[in-house]
Amino acid sequence: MDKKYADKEMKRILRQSLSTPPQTEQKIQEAYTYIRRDAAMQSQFAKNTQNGSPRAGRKKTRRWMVPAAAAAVLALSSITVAALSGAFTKTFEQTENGVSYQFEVNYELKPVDVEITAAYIPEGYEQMDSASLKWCADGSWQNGISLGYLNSASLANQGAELLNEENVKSVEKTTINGQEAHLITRNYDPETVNNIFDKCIYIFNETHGYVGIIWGGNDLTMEELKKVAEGISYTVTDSDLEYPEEKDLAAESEQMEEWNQQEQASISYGVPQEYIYSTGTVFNRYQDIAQAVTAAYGDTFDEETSSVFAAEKGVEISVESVELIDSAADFPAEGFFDYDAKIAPQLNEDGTIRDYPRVTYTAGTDGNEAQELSRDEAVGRKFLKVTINAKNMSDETIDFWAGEPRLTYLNPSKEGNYSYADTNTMPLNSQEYGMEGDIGSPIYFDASPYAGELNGHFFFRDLAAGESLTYTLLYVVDEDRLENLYLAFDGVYYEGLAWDGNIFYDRYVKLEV
Amino acid sequence: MKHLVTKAQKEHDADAFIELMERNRQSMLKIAMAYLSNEQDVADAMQESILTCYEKLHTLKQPQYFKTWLIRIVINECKDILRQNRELALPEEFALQGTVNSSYGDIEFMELLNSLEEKYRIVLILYYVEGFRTKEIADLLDMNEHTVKSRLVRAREKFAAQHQIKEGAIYG
Repeated sequence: MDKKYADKEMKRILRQSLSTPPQTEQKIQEAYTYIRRDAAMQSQFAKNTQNGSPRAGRKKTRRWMVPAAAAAVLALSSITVAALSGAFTKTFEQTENGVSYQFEVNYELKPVDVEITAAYIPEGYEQMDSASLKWCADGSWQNGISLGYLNSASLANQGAELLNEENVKSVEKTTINGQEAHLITRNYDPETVNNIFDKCIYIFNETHGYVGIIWGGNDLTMEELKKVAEGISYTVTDSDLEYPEEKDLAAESEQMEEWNQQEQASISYGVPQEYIYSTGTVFNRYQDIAQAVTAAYGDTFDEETSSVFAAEKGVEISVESVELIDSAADFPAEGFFDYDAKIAPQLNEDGTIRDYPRVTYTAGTDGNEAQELSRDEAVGRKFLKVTINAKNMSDETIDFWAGEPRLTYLNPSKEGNYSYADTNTMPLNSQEYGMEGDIGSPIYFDASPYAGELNGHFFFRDLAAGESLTYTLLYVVDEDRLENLYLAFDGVYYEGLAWDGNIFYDRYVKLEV
Repeated sequence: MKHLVTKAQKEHDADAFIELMERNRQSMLKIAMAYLSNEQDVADAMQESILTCYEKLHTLKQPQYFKTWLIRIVINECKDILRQNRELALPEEFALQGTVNSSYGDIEFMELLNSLEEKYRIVLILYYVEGFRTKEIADLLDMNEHTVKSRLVRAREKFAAQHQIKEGAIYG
């Protein structure tokens, strides 16, 4: 199964318009009637008194159902019950760089939820709003104070992973309000990040079964954060929580392992040459895939599914031109995504891009974490202007057409499949120098329905039946990385090999600049 | 949308307010469906959210944050209903799919939601439908950004695993 395919399909389903159920429609119209009547009364009263009317309290309209005779009982019989006196016991491990926690939960006790109240917050820190547990002094919300907790139901469901930290500078074990507490300070490179939560305090309550978490930013000391922790009260609520079932946890774990194996298989497979096109070539990825899937699985389809694939007319795509340009001065700001925050600070007065400090990492495609390889102090950047034509060959509109291929690098091969790049690059400090929303994503789209808006769908656009759309994208490329440059049509996550390893899903266009 | 908010706030303009609600109807509906699996609950959540929004609109200081503010109201109403249901031990199951007027899209949507736990649903809706960033979602739901990210990853994986070959459509 192809994760990327599923991702797109998920977006399509989520973004389509729903019809309003009749009962909901009725309730909405009732609300509107109330509002119209109330607004009219307000208006009339205001005319009479110049003050507006005192509004009578509205009764909640919620109906109360008769309680069910019996609630479902959680089947816990398959879970081994540990002989524990408290709600959990923990195992703590500190390695050279990090800390990790494992919890053994007592399933004989019911998990509880807690409410958090903070009695002490340092001066100058403002709460995000009365309902949130975040405080910040500089408005960035990327540092400051943030409070949270894990209950034993979460701990039983892999929640403990949240407590694990890498790159730890120090751990101090102490007691806060009679409970065991760990004070953890992380190493961080001030060159690479401006604001960060670089410290945290964990408070372990084994009696009730929760772990209090107090995150602190690099703008306050551990001593201050400890005072915050000392002032926090955790009140056990009467929430009705349940533990996850063992079979669900096992299935989830199995699924994760399966994904990892599929991903590795796809990476090893690489990109077949036949799916790499040159500029000007017209290709129809959807139709190709529909045909390939039908050939491989057609005999397993029911009639309806077969007809869906047979009717697939797809979208014809061609990359019409590619051009390296110095300045974006002629491109309107509203065509850029997040122009003020991400683009403008990186531009010189003439519209050229400022140099930036760059870090090169291993791509991590071997299953290992990416490792830093080198740093360059000042790397020149240019714009890559790409013109694409997309033609909807079907007689139906395609909602949320994703017309934004990603810029990527492939290692060519004379024989066999091309391999994915073994390095990636990133700005040393993405907060400060990054222009893209994601690695390889465009920064400009001249056909966005959300021009000038900070909308998550900025690079999506409906493609009407039969519509032929020619559009321009701008990318940012490093001046010293112009070789082996490709546009990946859905090839970002190295998941080209899909459908149980039988179908190659992605398509690439070689960019000659 | 900003001018509608201002008009509804300053002039008690019912039509402006109702237009605001209509523009956000899909968002509200999807969020309510993400939390609640009972049609009557969804209907109640929608009605209460609209009325609460109407009553409290004057407290909104910055019209540009209307959408975020509205979504927070819907989330709170849904949580309120869930809490009441738990107190009354009401059954959670009640099929939204299969109502008389359900379209294929509705059924697809509900199938997707039903395949995921509540904690994943709301994050998916806020991320993919509303276009919020993970940090904004973390703020909306009062949770750590890491949690939002991990839930997004897991939700995608869960969906992908359950999305069978027979589903057919391949657009992206």
